[in-house]
This record gives sequence, structure tokens and C-alpha cells, in this order.
Amino acid sequence: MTTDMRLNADIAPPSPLRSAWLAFAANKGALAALIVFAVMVVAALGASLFAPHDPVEQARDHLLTPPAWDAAGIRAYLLGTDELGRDLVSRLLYGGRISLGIAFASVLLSTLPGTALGLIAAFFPRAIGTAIMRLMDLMLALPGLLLALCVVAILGPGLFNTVIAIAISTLPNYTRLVRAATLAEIPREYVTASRVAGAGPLRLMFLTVLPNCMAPLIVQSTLGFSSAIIQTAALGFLGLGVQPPMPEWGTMLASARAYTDSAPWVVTVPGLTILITVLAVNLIGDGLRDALDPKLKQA
Amino acid sequence: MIAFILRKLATLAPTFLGITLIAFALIHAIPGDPVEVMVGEHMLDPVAHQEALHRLGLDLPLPVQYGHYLLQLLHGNLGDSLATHEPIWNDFLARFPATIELSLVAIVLAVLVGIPMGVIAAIKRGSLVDRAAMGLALTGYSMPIFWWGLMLIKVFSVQLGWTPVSGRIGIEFDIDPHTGFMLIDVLMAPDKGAFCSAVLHLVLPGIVLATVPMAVIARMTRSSMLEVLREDYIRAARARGLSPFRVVIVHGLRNALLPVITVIGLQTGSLLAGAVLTETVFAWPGIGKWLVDAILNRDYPVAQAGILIVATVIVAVNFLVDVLYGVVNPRLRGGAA
Amino acid sequence: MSLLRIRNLRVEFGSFPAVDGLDLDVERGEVLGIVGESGSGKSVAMLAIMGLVDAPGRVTADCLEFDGQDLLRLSASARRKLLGRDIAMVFQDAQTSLDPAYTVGDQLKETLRAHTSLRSTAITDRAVALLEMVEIPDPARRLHTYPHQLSGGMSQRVMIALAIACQPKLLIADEPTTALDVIVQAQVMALLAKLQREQDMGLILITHDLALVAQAARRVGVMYAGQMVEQQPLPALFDTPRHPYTRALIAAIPEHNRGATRLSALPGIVPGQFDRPSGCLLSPRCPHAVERCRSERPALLGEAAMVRCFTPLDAQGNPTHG
Repeated sequence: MTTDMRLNADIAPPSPLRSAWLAFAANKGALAALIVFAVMVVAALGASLFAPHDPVEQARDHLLTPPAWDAAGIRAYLLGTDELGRDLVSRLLYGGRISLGIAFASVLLSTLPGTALGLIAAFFPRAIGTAIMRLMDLMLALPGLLLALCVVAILGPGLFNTVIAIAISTLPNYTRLVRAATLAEIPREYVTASRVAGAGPLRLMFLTVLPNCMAPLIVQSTLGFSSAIIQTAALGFLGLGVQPPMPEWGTMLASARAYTDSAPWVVTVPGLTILITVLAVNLIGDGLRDALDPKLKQA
Repeated sequence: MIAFILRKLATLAPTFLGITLIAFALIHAIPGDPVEVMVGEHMLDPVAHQEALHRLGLDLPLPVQYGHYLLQLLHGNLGDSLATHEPIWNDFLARFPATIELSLVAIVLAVLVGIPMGVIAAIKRGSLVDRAAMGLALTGYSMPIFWWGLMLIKVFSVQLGWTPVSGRIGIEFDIDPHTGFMLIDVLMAPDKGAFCSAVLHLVLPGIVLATVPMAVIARMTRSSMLEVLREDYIRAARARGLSPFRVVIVHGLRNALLPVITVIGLQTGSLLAGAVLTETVFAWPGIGKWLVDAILNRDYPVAQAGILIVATVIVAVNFLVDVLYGVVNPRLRGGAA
Repeated sequence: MSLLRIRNLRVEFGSFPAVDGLDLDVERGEVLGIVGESGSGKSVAMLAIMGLVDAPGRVTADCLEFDGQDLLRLSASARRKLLGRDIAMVFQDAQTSLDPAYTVGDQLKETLRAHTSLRSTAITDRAVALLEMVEIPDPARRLHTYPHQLSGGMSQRVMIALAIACQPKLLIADEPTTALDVIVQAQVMALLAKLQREQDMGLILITHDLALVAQAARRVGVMYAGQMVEQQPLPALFDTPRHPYTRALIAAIPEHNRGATRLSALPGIVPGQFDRPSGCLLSPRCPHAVERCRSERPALLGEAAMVRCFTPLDAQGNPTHG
């Protein structure tokens, strides 16, 4: 009796990527959030295509126009205009570019060095590792917005400095996370096996151990992305972030603040946009965490 | 127990030193000469410039300057504000209680709402109550609180007129700042309606500042409870016929609180960050607003001092949390049978 | 009237019957052993008796009576009065079954406060007395220790103290010594036997260890795949096992395999969720299975010696025709 030893495609277990995606997609909330986020990214990237007006163009005879569904609204300005007559829809779209762009850049700028530092701290735990972690502890004494404020105090406000400030303030989180995950992996046998086979420290760090620490890193990056959006808006609101006339959502809120009662849409709309975007990214992050968490995987 | 606390204190020293280093470096990291920074521009002629540098001791080598700075700190001298020309320490003392009061109210609110929310969500896992609670928590966690404050003011202060728009107390009241804590000071004042006014002024800012910590605490409590309720000792407690209250609260929550306490402690940092935004929205005269104004107005001595103080407070609170954790979790104290 | 009477107990998780029709009787002051491999449903059955099976598990039975009370119709508060007072349970891992945040004394007093009217000094005295009963040295000081400060054997003794605190009529011990080393095992078993005698408790002893049950029990039930397949008094169960599974269990004991190169074992594995036979659950593996075994489920028959088999073994070990 001969047995066909080829693995029948029907019963082959799904690859890790596919099984993670299936687990993620089973979470309806996360899936919906992913769609919403994808729409936002497309809208932001294609702002120049979708925006009906120039975001800094001021329509002098249409100052503080209400949204189109209001009696005094105009269809040309779907969500109304702000105190300088600028179309809100266009400003939101271009603002999306700024917020998402800053968030993406700052996550990249903090994840890459943070991961490298975490790996180094774990593989050289004595002098170098201790020094790195002490530095991280110091940076963590001033969490989030406060450290960003510190950096802005030194460098001054502006878009570029916002990216730097946020990146610096979140870097310690990644270092700690990667270090902890790496320390858990180093004693495992596959690492010893690689070491015995002659792998040098660089190869061990990036090719052997790092791939196995990806799950918490991905989740943290996602949450870092959403927190970066809020930080950007917060700094903008305080006047210490992106400066006017650039249409960053938080900066828009700062100048619109005076009109909260007389022209509420100028405040409500940008704020809602921030909330929805951050909510979507956080839902995705939660979904990723549930999908990638080995404890919840049905073995 | 004492040994445990002392050991923890010892690890604080280098961290605190590091913080002073950062604060010190703040002014010197700014591009340009510190004198230029303080005067504003290149207006001094070179001789006066040198004199100013010498007078302020800025021409000494950096390590010496740092030593002087530390010495000044130990004497409690934080320097003078460029804006008010007052000693910064006094300005700080006048404002700090306001932030503490607001933060305490916020943390109490966050705990009183967040923990029960998390417990109920865990007990009724998967139900509508659970999903609603966690949906609320997620929204709170994602909320830009500066916008949230503006919206609450619009609805509750302007449209409904239930709460005031800003400040700590109605301007018609003249309260002596004995302690700096409005809620305490009003009790010593003769005006009857003052206490009510003070409380009303705390409502909206307190809610706004409590939003994010409440959400984090609720989520953390739920996941911690779910883990604990799966434990053997919970089943064993039920097998002894103990009431659901005892099982869930006395045994369940008690053990579930350990990670939650850590989270509450870690929230202090984000609480101070949130205070910055909340105080700006509600014109609350605390150190958050003070710090932001200082940075906006380039009052660098204040910015430096403010950051030093904030970092110290956070480190101190983290230390207290560590100690509290040791109290609550007997295993961490390192005792033996 | 039996202390505990179970007829056709079923515990289902979805479509999987963890307990598939269990019949059981325990008399006052009697020691019943229940043996079976992992997955035979013995622990789940005990949890069902205690009412500790949560959704999505469903518990049904034709009869589930304790001391004349219908456990199936019991209200939650009535059940809580019963648990810890009249029925008590000791679990396998004592270390994890004690709340790490409270002292031994706290947990003892809590149970006493819940079920008795003792208060203040009387409670402390009783707690100390309980620790003495379970042979814990220096009991007054031990009241203030935390579970993580106790050794394995010590924690199990504390568990037992908690269980007998209110002099239960029935004690269920679910693998009480599996997590302990051999010497401590013997001590704890001796303690259980002594307490059972002194307090005239019914004792159900769950284990997979045949030797343990041989020393402690008077009657033994054998469970397989969620069913009771045989029940006999000792030493009859070991001398003349009537069910092929029991016989195979006994044959697998290392002492009975001296000189052999492999332990004797039945081929195949225990049916799980998806491969349950429509006939006798052992039929795919049983060396004596006939046509009837594969199509019909046998019932548990007999008086003193009960067996669930169409071809039970006789005294010589040969299959008969029921």
C-alpha cells in the first residue's frame, strides 16, 4: 500500500501570516476600523485630488459659513468654512496628510532606533545594557507630552520639531519592550543553536531573535501611531506644534476655539475627525493584539 | 519592610541626579548663548555681553556651573522668572496646589468609575454590558481631551448653564489662599455659597482630566479580573460556599488589583500631561498652564524649573507605587516561612 | 437512604459529553474510590455535584440527590449553604487553590464565619484546633503564614483543614496527592483516612493511581470516557475484575509486567469529541467485542458488583454473555 505523502492543501495548517489575518478579520470591530482607516489614508494621500478648494485660500465673503445641511450653508463648502473663510473639507483632508504623515514618521523614527537599542541592551546586558536602560528610565521620568514639550522648548515649535519631539518621547517604550522580549528569547534553545552554528551578534539580534519579538512590537507601534496623532494635535492646540496656516487638526482647534458657541462646526468637525481617526487606529491595535497574542490562539 | 523601602530609595538617587542634569542641560541645549536667549537678541555690545556672561557665571566651565546649579537646588533656589521677576519657587508654590487638587479629583473619579466598570464588564463577559463598557473605555482612551473639554463647556456651561466656564471659583467670592486647596480654603471662609461654587468649578475639569485614566483603569481591571477569575483559588472559594460578593470582590478583585495599582501609578505621568491641556482649556491656574505659558513666552528659567519639578513628582509617585505594591503583594517583600 | 445518589449524570460542553451517563451511590461514612485516566470525566463529575460547572457546560441527570435534597432544583443560596458545610472538596494543586493574598488563618476563619455562628476568639480557637487536626506543627503561629510560605504537603493539609472545618458529611478529594512526593503522599493519605474515621465522613477519592485506592477505599468505581464502567468492593475489583477495561488497567501496572519489554496496554486511544462510537465506548479497543457491542450501549447492571458490559469477564477472566 503506497501512501501519497504530499501534504493535502486542504488540511495544511495556514501560514502564521494567514492565521493572524483570519483571527484579526474575525473581529468585526477591528475589521471595520481597518476599512475606515484605509479610507482615511487614501483620502489623505489623495488630498490634492479630493479637496474641492485650496486649504489656505480665504473666501472673504464666506467667513464662518455653516455646513451644507444647515439653512445658511452652501453646497460648495460641504462642512462649512472657518473664521478666515477656508473650506473645512479641504483643510481636513490636507490636515490628514500632516497628522498621518507626522505619526508615521515619528513611529518610524522611534521604533527603529528603539528596537536597535533594545536588542543591544539585551545582548550586552552588563555595562552597555545598564547604561541604555538608565537613560531610558530617565527619559521615562518625563512621559509623553511633557517630554515632547521639553524638546519643543529647546528646538522651538513647528512640524519637523513635532516629529522629533514625539519620536524622542516614545522611543523608551520600544527599547524597554524589545529588551524585555529579547531577554525572554535569548535563553531559548534556538538561539543557542544559532550561536553554536557560528552566528555573530548582529545576525543573532536581527535575523534570529527579532522576528520572534515582532508581535508585541507591532501592537505597540500601532498604539504609538494613535498616540502620535493625539500628541500632534495636542501640541498644535497649545500653539507649540504645527503652526498656522498649516491645516493640522489640533492647530485648527486652537484658532477655532473662540467660535465654539457662535460657529460650533469649526470646533466640532476637526475634533471629531481626530477622535474617529484615533479610535480607528486603537481598534486596529486591539484587534492586532488579540490576533497576535499566543495565549489566545486556538492551538 | 523598612529595608525594602530603603533599598528602593537608594535606586532613586541616580535617577534624580539625572533629572537635574536634563533640566540643567535644557537652557544650555538651546541654540545660541544663554544671555542672548534671556535678553532676546543680539542687542548687547560685546563688552556688556561678556559682562553679563561673567555676572551670571555663564563663562565658567560647564561642570562647575552644574555644581552651582545643584547647590542652588539644595537651597531651594530655583531662580527667578523672566516674566514676573519673582522667585520661581514662590510662583510654583502658588500654583502647585491647584494642579494637585485637580489631579486628585481626577484620579479619584477615574478609580471610582473605572474599577467598578472593569469588574462588571469582567463578570458579565461577552454581554451587552461588557461591550458597552469597553466601547466607552475605548472612546475615552482615544479622546482628544482638549476638544472634549471644549465640547463639555459648550453643552454644560454655555447651553445648559449648569457649570461655570473657567477658573477655580466664582469671581464674586474672595477666598484667602491658606492652603492653596480651594476645597479646604472655602471651608474657612465666611461665604456660604463658596463651597458649592468651588465644587462646581471642579466638575468639568475633573471629568475631562479623569477621562483617559478612567478608560485605562477600566480596561486593565477587566483583563486582570478575567485572569484572576480563572484561577484555582476562585473555584476553591466557591467550593466552600462563599457568597458571590466574597468570591468576586474579596478574593477576585483583591488579587486583580495588583496590576491595576501599577497602572494607576503610571497614570500620574499622563495625568500631569493631561493637566497641561485641561488647565489650558479651563483657564485653571495650575502648573500645567504655567509651564506651557513659560515655553510659549520663552521664560526659560521657569520652563527649566517646571520640568525639573514635574519629573521629580513623577519619580516620587512611581516610588510610592512600588512601595504600595510591596505592601499589597506579600510575596514581593521577600519574607520566608 | 444513600448519602449521595446519582443516576445518569450528563455534563455536556457543546456536543461533547465529558460525563456521559454516570451512576453512583455513596453511603454515610463510606470510602468510595473512583479511578480513571485523564479525560475520563471523573473531575468534571465531581464539579457537577458541587454545582461548579459553568456555562457553556450543561448538567443534566435523572437523579442527583444529596442527603435527601435534590441538588438539581437547589437555589443558588441553598447550594451555597451546602458547600463547605455538608459537602466539601479538596483539589489537586493545593498551592494554587489557596488565595495568595490572605493568610491561612484568614481563609480558615472566613469559612467558619460563613457557615457557623462562631465569632472572635471562638473562631480563632477553632482554626487552631483544625490545624492541629491536620497535624500541622505550631498551629497558632501558622495562622499568620501566607500560602506561598508553605510547602506542598503543608498546603494540602491546610486545604483539608478548610474542607473539614464544618464537619462535612461528604468529602470529595480530587487527586489530593498527585502533586506531592511519595513520602508526603503517604502522610496525607494516612491523615485523610484518620479524619474520615474520626468524623464518619463519606469520602470520594478520585485518582488515577490504583495502588492508592487499594489502600484507602472500600469500594471502587472505574470510569472510562465519561461513564462508570464497573463498580465493585475491594478486593474483588482487583481479584476478579469484570470489565475488560478494568482488567487492562490492572494488567498495565508495572508490577504485573515484570520481565516484559513493554507494558501491556489496550490498542487505540480514548474516544474524544469526534470519534465516539454509537455502541459501547470501549468497543473499538476491546479484545472481546462482539457485534452487539458495536451497535448498542450497555447499561450499568448488577447489585454489589456493577458492570457495564455485554460480555463481562468471569472469575477466570473469560468473557461471558452478560
